[in-house]
Parts: sequence; C-alpha cells; structure tokens
Amino acid sequence: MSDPLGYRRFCFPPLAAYIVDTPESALIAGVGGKTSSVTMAFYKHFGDNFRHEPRTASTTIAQLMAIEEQIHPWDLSRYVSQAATLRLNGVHRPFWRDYPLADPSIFLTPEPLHHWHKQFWDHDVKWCINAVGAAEIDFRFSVLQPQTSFRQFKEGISALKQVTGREHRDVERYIVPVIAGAVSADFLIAI
Amino acid sequence: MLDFRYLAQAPTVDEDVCGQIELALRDFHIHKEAIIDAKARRGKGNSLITNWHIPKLEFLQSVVANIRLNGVAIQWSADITENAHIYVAKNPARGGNNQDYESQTCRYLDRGDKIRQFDLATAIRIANVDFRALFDNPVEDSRPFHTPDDDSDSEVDTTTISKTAALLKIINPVAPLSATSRTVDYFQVASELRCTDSHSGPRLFRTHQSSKNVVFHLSRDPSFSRILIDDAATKFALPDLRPALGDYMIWLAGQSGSREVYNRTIGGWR
Repeated sequence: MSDPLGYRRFCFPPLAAYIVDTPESALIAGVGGKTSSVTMAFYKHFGDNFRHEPRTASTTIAQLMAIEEQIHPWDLSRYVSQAATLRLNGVHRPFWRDYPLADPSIFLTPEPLHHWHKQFWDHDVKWCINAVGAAEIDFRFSVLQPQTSFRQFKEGISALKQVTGREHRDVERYIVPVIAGAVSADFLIAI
Repeated sequence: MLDFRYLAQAPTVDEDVCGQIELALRDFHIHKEAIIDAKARRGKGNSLITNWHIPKLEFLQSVVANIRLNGVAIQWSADITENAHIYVAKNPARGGNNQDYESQTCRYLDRGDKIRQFDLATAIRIANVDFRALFDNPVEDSRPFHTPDDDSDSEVDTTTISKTAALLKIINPVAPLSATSRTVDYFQVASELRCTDSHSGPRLFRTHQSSKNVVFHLSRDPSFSRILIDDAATKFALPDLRPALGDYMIWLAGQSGSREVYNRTIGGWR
C-alpha cells in the first residue's frame, strides 16, 4: 500500500475485530451449537453470573491437535463426533491458526446491534409481554404521549413484525416505566 | 439489563464505567429469578422455560473484558456495516438500469468518491489551508509555506493544520463530510437569519423565532394540500381560523390599495 507521501510500504494488518452475529461467531471460533465462541462456557453455563475462562486460540488449537493425534480428519464421521465431545464443529484448520496476534476470544468483539438490542427484543421484551399480559402492555404503550423522533407504538408492541433496530431502541427507552407496577420489584430491577 | 446496555454503549469507557457495567450485570443476575418466578420465560407453544440457556446472555460476561482489550464496544456495532449495505449496494443498484449491476455500482461509487474529493479539495483551498507547510518544513519553520511565484491570492493568510478535526472545523464543503443526518437547531437558524443584513429576500423568514422558547419553521410542502377551512379549524383546535383568515384578506386588500375584495389563490406554486 502507498503511504500519504507516496512511498510503497509492506502492510500487515492485524485482525483486530471481526463483526459478526452469534451463529457466524460460533463458526469462526470453530465451536458447535449452543457453545460460547469467546469463552469455555456452553449452554448449561449461559445463565452463570461470572465469566468463564476465555476460549483462546491456543486452547482451541491444542484441542484440535489432540483429536488429530487419535483420528485422521478424513475419517470424517469419527473425527466430527470426537470434535463434538469437545464442543468443536469439526473444522480442523481454522483460518486464524497462523495469523499473528489473532485470537477469536479477542477479535470476536461484543456487538451492540445483534447482542444487545436483538437480545432485548427476542428475550427481555417477551418476558415483559408474558409477565404483564399482551393486552395490558399494548394498552400501556398506546396511551403514551407521542414524542418527536421516537416511534409511537399506537397499536402496542406484542404483535409487531419486521422490527428495526431503531424500534428496538425506542422500546428500550419506554419499557421500564411501562411495565412498572405490573411486575414485581425484582423483575423490574432485572429488566 | 438496560443500565448495562446504555453504559456499555458509552463512547468513552474508563475503569469507573467498567465497574458500573459489571455491577449492572450482577444486578440482573441477582434479580433474574423473579423473571422465572413470574412465569415469563416461555418457549414455543407457550411452554414454561426455567433455565437461562441464552447464548447472548453469556456474551455479556465478556463485554468488560473485551472493552479492556479492544476499546469501547460501540465502535464494533454492526449498525454501520448493515447500514452501509443500503448506500453502497442497494441505492447504487437502484440508480442503474437493472443491467450490469457490478460495473454500474462500481462506477456510481467511483463518481461519488470523485465528487467528494473535489468538494473537499476546493473547500480546503477556499479556506486557505496549506498542507505543504507540514511536509516541507516540518520542524524548523512552522510558518505557512508558500513560494513567491505562487498564485496571486496566496498572499492572504494561510492556515497550518495538523489534525483532521481542526481541518473539519475551518473548511465548509458543499456536502456534509461526517454524519448524514443531523438535528437542525432552528433557534440558531432563526438567529442567523435575523442577523444577516444583506438579505434581499422576502422579509418574514421561513424560520422565525417568536419568543424565547418557540421557533416557527415553514416547510415548503404543506402537510395537507387540500382541506376545508372548517375542517382545519377543528383539526388544529383553532375556532377563530375562519374570522382570522377573513381579517387577513381584508388586510391584504387594504395593502394592495384597491377597494375590491382580494381575489387570488393563496398557496400553490410560486
């Protein structure tokens, strides 16, 4: 690449961030379903209140080497099932294996759109609808004073389809006062 | 959980904020049983779920650790790239004739880029920014550099700039360089209009401040192109709209000096 003064330079960009959604990140980390791509946790641990050991590049590579010592990767069915016992997806040469400084547990960064806003919509909002009741929560949204630059949810939120990120964030702004009084104090604090 | 989301989206995060983010997540885990107790966690067919097998919940444990390693999380948001799909792929494709998408899209982007570069270059020149000063005399002479046989207008004071932020402050390109949409401060627009003396246009400005907290901004296109006066009066709760319009027409007639009733279309194309 050329620098601002016109000299040609060798460039070796580090892999700093790989912005992906949840299934893609599992694929890149080489782990199977229901398994964290950045820590050693799998589905039984997803609700734990602490961070599990990071799934570093060296950990995954060491696991892959250990499997390969016993089973040849071309012995596909046995290889994949052996990999699955370690919660790996059976890719035996992840692309980042010889990329200097690249570590999936670091370059798979947290991602506000997919991880937080979508999680809010897919889970937190559903809890609120179930706890408050669809009709009641829709009513509570319908009587809110409309505000410029926020969507007004005149029809409520329980039947919305094709919801955009903008709307996720607008609901986030309303949800706590909307459900207050209809759920227990602990529920409200958790949301 | 919402505290966590808002704190973790902060544009700058220090150790204090890291602590607050962790605290917010801990608060959720302390109180999360209430959600299961309320029987609010349900799966397909309304079946009760009593576990927390949510992958995205586990990711949240890595947020603070990753902010320490990689910087704030908001810079890794997919909003930017998802949005880019619209203006670097969908819009250019729509602008073409539905043939040769690849080459037409490339040309569209290429031309847009050239227009921006030209805009930037002319804006920099108009603002008299001299970059050569930086490269030619970096240390010993920080004064602006120009040769004697330079253009005639080079004698006006040139400015030395070493940061992009400083450059953006002084240049005034035709198209905005950064954010595509921004909130317009109508109060500022109104005060700028008021302070401009050399204004030859019609006197009551499109943006007009009537009192400390109220600014009127007239849009070109009316919200209702056809509406009966009485309907408008009902809709906007203006019971005196009809008499007020009558007064206005009589006033207009007086202005024009004629005694006839003012009989012209109001609105429409000008």
